[in-house]
Parts: sequence; structure tokens; C-alpha cells
Amino acid sequence: MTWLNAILQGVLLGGIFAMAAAGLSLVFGVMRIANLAHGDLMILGGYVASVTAAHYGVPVPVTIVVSMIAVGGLGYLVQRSMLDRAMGLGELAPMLVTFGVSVIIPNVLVQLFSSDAQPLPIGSLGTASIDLGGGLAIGWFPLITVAAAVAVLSSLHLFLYGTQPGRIVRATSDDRAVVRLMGVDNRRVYALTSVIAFATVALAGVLYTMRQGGVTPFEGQLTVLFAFETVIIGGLGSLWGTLAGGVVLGVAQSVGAQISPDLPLLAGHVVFLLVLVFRPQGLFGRSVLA
Amino acid sequence: MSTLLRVDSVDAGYGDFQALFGIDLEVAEGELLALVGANGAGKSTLLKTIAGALKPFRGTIGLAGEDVTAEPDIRRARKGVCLVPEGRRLFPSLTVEENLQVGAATGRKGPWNLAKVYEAIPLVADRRARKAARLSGGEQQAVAIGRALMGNPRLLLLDEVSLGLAPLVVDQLYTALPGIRAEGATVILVEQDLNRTFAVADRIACVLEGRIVLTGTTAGLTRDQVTAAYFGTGAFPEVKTP
Repeated sequence: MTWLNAILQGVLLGGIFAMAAAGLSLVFGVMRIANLAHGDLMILGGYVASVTAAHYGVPVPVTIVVSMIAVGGLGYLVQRSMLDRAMGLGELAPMLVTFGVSVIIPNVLVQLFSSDAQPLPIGSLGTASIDLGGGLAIGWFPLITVAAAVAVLSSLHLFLYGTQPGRIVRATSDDRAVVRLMGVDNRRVYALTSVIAFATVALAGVLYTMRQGGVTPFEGQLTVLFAFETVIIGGLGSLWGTLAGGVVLGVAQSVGAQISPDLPLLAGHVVFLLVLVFRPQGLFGRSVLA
Repeated sequence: MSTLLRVDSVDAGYGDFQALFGIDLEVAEGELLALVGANGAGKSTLLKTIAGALKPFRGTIGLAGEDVTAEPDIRRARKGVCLVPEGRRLFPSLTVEENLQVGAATGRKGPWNLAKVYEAIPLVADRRARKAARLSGGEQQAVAIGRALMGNPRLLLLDEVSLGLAPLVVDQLYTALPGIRAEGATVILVEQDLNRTFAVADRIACVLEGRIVLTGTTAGLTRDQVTAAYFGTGAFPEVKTP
């Protein structure tokens, strides 16, 4: 039963990974930028929430919205002021910009808030659970994160496949030069994409911080790995693949932890490598023709 | 008839390579102009320059009396200059219908919508739910034209309509042309087949090595003149010096 429980907890953990990875996948899909700062942006989202809660007395649920708006706005600025220009310089330049951002964020956080953990307490919600009987229990909070992940991915899917702006985003992803012939400003599409990606990763960051009980400046170096692994396990360009990738990674880590407390990261990386070796297009990866 | 497009001593090219030399061209509202010339003569470059996807080195481009030389392709598309690019360039991961819907992003009001495009080009209607990547060449071309129409073009630029397509498919595409013109679009098309060119065009302009060497109404030109201009052989009565 402990194993079943480990799997169940892994599934619930996967929700956060999936949410964190969705923005990474979107930015890569539309702009072909591998955002190396994605993990640090996630942590930044957590910081915005914990700082506004601790220093400005903002109620914890409201900090989620504050964080999404703040980091989403940062996405607009980074895209407009740096990435747009870098994209004109070649393939490597935008990645170097994101690398720069990934260096700046944790170091600024250390300067401002030291390397102590910034708490984001959620009170009894953190420990409340539903007893399923037989030693199985689902925590309310992990359940909420999975529900949020499904909601975010569903909304993204609805947006991309059911609305005209979403169609334009996908068309831009296919051919950024040709959409201009239809009067579409591809840079505005990029800005919109970045805002969505940054806001969703901020949400993932806040939930991650709540789950951990707090956040430290350099955790982004780890979470960016989780996000990349989730995208690659699930397969690029498939939102439901991303959810599956998050769940697979979550279960691998959780089961690894069950075997030995120092195994969760290694177990996740091993599963990731196995997928790379045996199914490099990812579990739900599709070719262009699909 | 009033002048819709006026190209005035335009030089254009890519980087250090100059492809167009002193192009002068006028197209009247409602007219159909065919550009004729060998591969590499500069026809596609000229269409791209008119659409604003390529900035000319020198010269001006006027649309309905307004100088649009400095305006990028995005703004010109919103003003109704719609290019069907060389190689069709559909959005492969989108369905046919989605490709058409993206074409409407110019935000222009006009006669064209999904139902009207399906009616004008039945080939497109039959494939509406299919991914663009899974279409044949002719179907792709039909969708590319439909996508441009969805933008409600004032000036429709058709690059290499029949390149690599079976004659039967090309016939189907050309049957849509009168309907498109009837809705008020002015058309510039690039076509290699002289028979078709003479059948559909009001006026012909021959491009040779980046220069327009011969222009005239279809009725006023002979096939021999156009052929000579195409290959750059012999003397032509209306030679334009660059």
C-alpha cells in the first residue's frame, strides 16, 4: 500500500511539473527559444507571493494573482526589450539572453532577501487530507494543484485551438514571416506568448512554494531541469503530453523517494534518460504531419 | 480608371545582391496584370517588394495615391495588399479552415468569408477539415489563394500559380479568377504559361534580368514579342531602357 501511495503522491506532484512545463513548451513552440530562465522565473513567482504576503500583508490566495500579474508583466518587458531584438541576431542570442536572466534573478534575490527560505504559509490546508481508507490519503493541497494544472492546460488548449488569437499564435509558430502578410504583427504574438508563459510559470512557482512551505533563491536551477524533463518526456507540442510528462516525472521521483530518501532526483533523471533513449520524440510527441 | 498601384524607379534586392533595377509600373483599379519572365528574372522579388516583405533600396511604391514605401508588410496587408507567396507557405499544422481563418486577420471588411471562399473554390471546401501538411500541391495552392481572399484584398498578388501543378488542377484554379475579379480585386499574377497569360490578362509586363523590358495590353502584344522579351533575344518595339 505504501507503493500505491507513492504513486498517488507522484501523480499529484506531477501537476506542478506540468504547469511549470506548459509555458516552457509554449515559448519553445512559438519562438523556438529554449528559456533557460524558466526555473528561476518559477522561483521568482514564489518570491513575489511570499514577499507580498509577509511584508505587505496581502492574503495568501490573492498573492497568486499578484504574482501572475507581476511576472506576466515582466514577461512582456523581457520579450519587448531584449528577446525581440535578440531573435533578430540569430538562433543562439535569445538563449543567451535567457541564460543572463537566469543568472540575474537568483543573485538579485540573494541580495534582497538573503539565502534564507521565504515562507509562504497556507495553514491547515497544507496538512488537510481526504482519507481513502487502507492507509491511502489524498492531501487537499496536492489535489488542488492537480486541478489547477488541468484547468491551466485546458484553458491553454481552448485558447490555442478554439479562438482566433490562439489560431494566430499557432500560425505564427508555423511560419512567422507569412503571418505578417495577413496583417499580423508577429512581435505582438511573441509578447502575448511570453505573458502567458511567464504568468503560468509564476502560478506554478507559487504552488510549488506553498507545497514546500517556502522558497530559496537558487532552487530555480533544479526546477528548470524538472520543466525541461517534463516537456521532453511528454513530447514537444502536445499539452496533454506535458501533463503526462509531469505525472511520469512526479511518479518517478515519488517512487524513488520510497526506495530511498536520497533517490528521488536520480530516479527522475533516469526515467528522463530512458525516454530520451527509447522514445526521443516523447510519450505523446507528434511529427508535423499528425 | 484610377491608378491603384504605382511603382516608381524601384531598385531592390537581398543584401549585396541587386535583383531589380529601376522598375516603373502602374496598375489601374480592377486591372489584371501578368508578369512574364524567366526564372530568376525578379518577378517574385517585385511582388515581395510590392507586398512590403522586402524593402526597396531606392524608389517609391504608391497605393491608391498614398506613398506606402516606408510601411512594412503588416500595414500593407491591412490596407489590402495580399500576397500568395511563392511555394504557397501554408501553416502546415493548421487545418485548411484554420488557414483560411488566419487569412482574415487583416481585419478588412469585404465580400469574402469562409462560405464565399468555399463557393468560389470548391477544391478548398472538400478539404476543409484536413491538415494543410497533408494536401497535394494543387490543393495547397487553392488554399493559399483562399487564404489571401479571406483578407479581402484590394490588390491580390499571385506568385507562380501553376508551378509544378497538373494542367487540370491549374484549370480549376483559373476558373475562380473571374469571380475574384468580379468582387473588385485588382490582380497581379506571375505565370509561365503564355497561353494562359494571354487568355486572362488585361496587360502584360515582361521582366528580364531585373528590368521591365516590355509592357503592353494583351491585345496590343504578339506572342513573338513576349517570347523575345522572355529570352532577351531580338529587338522589341517598346523597349524600356532602365
